[in-house]
Amino acid sequence: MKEIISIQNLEKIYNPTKVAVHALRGVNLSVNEGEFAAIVGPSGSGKSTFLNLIGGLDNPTSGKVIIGGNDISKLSANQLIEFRLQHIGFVFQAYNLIPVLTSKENVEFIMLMQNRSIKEREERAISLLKAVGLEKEIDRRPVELSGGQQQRVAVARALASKPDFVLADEPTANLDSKSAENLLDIMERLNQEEGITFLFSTHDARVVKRARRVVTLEDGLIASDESRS
Amino acid sequence: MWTIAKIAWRNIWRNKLRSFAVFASVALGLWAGIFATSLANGLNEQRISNVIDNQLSHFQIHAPGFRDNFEINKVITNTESIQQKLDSNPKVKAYTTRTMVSGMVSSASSSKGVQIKGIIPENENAVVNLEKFMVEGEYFGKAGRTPSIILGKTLADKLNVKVRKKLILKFQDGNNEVIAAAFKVKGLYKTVDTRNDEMTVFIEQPKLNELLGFSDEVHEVAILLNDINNIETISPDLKAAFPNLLVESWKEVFPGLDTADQLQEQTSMLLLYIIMLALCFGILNTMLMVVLERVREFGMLMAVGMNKLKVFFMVMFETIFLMLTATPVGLAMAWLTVWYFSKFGLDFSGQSEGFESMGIDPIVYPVLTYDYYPKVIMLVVAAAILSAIYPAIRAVRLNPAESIRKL
Repeated sequence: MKEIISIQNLEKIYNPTKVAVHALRGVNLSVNEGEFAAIVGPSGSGKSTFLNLIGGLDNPTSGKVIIGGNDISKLSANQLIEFRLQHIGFVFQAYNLIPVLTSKENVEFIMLMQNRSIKEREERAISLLKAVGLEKEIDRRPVELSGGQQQRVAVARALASKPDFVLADEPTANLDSKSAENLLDIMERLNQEEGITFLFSTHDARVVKRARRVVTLEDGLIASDESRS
Repeated sequence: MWTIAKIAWRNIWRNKLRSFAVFASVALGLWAGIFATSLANGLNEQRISNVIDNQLSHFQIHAPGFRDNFEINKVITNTESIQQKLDSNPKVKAYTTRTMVSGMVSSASSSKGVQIKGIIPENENAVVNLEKFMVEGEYFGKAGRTPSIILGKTLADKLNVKVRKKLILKFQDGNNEVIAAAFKVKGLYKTVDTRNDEMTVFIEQPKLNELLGFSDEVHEVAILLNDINNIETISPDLKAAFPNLLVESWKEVFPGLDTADQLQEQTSMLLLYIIMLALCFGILNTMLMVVLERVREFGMLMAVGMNKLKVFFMVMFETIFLMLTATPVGLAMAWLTVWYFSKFGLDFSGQSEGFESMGIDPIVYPVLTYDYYPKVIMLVVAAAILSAIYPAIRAVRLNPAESIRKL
C-alpha cells in the first residue's frame, strides 16, 4: 500500500514563552492509502491537535507532516488553504454546512473553488449525494435536514474535491445511534468499495469498533497502534 | 466570485429582523439627507431668485464709485446711448433706469430712514414686476396734484399711514441742500423680503430728478436677460459696450449671495457625509456582529479551502448588498417626497415672519437636480466599502482550527 501520510517526530507546544503546554511530544505515524483508522484517547491527549496538524489547520512547533510527499509544515497560510482544497476532505463534529446553500450547492461549493466545470460539479454532487443516500434531499437547505442527514452531506462535501484522504473530527458525536450507524455504514462502504482513506478522531466506541486501525494517544504520545484485519 | 456574491446575497436574509433594521436606517438616513438637502436648495434658490427678481436683476450698471457710498453726484449721464445699445441686444429682455437717494420718510406720527428710488413705473414693472406685489391701492397710475409714492406694507404700518394719506420725503440734493416734498400714498406692496420692504420707497423718476436738479441723469440701470444662464457669456459684451461705467452681474453686485449659495451646497453635502458616517458606524457594528456570530462558519470555509481573499470579498459583498438593497428604497422615498413638495410646496406659514425677514417665501419648494442621485449612490457604495473593511479583516484573521470549535 502507498503511504499517503507520514508524521515524523511531531511536536506541538502551546504558549511556549509562558506556561508551555506540550500537546504532542514527538509523534511518529504512517498512514497508507485505503486505511480506515481511528485516533482515540482521553480528553487532552492531543487528538484534536494531531488532527489539526495533519489537516494543515495548525503549524507544528517541530517535526514534519508529509502528505503525498509534500512537507506541509513548510507551506504558507495561503498555500495551506490551496493544499487543503486539493488534497484533504474534512468532516466536522458540528457538520458545519453553509446554511444558505442547498445540499447540492454545499457539495458543489468545494468543486467550484477548484474551478471545475458546471457539468462536472453537478454530476459529481448528485452522484455523491446518491452515494450517501440523499438523492431526494438535494434541494434542501441544512435547516431542513436532520443531524444525520447533514453529516452525510458533509461526507459528500468532503469527498467532492477527490481528496487524498478524509479527516473526520468526532463525526458521530452529535448523532443518535441510528444516524451514527448509518453514517459509519456509508463511510465504511466508501472505504471498502472506492478505497477512500478515512482518519477519525473519536471517543465513540461504535467508530472504534469498526476501525481497522486504532491509534491511541496519551499525554501527547502514541500509547498504542493496533491494526485489525 | 459569482458564487461568493450569491452566498453573500443569501446571507443577508438569514437574520431578517437585523437586516430590516439596517435597511430602515440606511433608507431613512438617505431620505432624511436628500430631503434636507433639497429643502435647503429650495430655500436658497428661492432666496436668490427673490433677490434677483425683486431687487438686483441680472446686471446692474452704475457710475464708477457710486456703490461705494451712494454719492448722489456719481451719475450715469449718457442714458440715451445706453438705452440704444440695450435695445439692440437680443439677449436683453428688459431694462430700467433708477435714480436713488437716501432720506427720511415722515408721517404724522413717525419717521423712518429709507432709500428713495425714482423709477419709470412701466420699465420697473418689466424688470422686477413690482405691480404684482401690490396689496393695497394701485401701482402709480394717473398722478394727481400731489405726486405718488409706493411703499412697503410693513413700513406703512410702522408709519401708521394708509393709501391716499400724505407723507413727507426729506433728503439732500447734490449741493447738500435739504429738500422736502409731500407725496400721496398711491399703493402698498409686500414682497417676501419684509426687511427690504421696510427700507425702500418708490416715486416716479421725473419727479425725483426734478427735486434733485437732474435732467436725464440716473444712478442705476438694471438689466433683465432672456435667460439667466447667459450671464457669463453676455458679461464681456456689456462690459465692452460701456467701458466708462461699472457693469456688474448679480454675483458681483451681491457676492455674498453667490458665496452663500456655494456654502449651502457644501453644507448639504457635509450633512450627507455626516449621515453616511453615522450609518457607517451602524453598519460596521452590524457586520462585526455578523462576523462574530459566524466565526465557526468562516473557520470551516477556510478549513475546506476557501482562500482569505474570497472570505474578505464575501463580507464586503454582504455589506454592499445590505446597503445597496436599502438605497433604492431611500432614493425612491426621497424622490417622491421631493417631487410632491416641489409641486405643492411645504408650508412654513407658522414661521412666516422669520422666513420673510430673510427674504424667503414661507412656502418652500424643494429643489434637487438629478445629478445628485448618482453622487448619493457612489457615497453609499463608498460608505459600504469603508464600513466593511474592518469586519472583513476580522473574518480573514480567524484561525480555522480554533474557529471550527467555537460554540
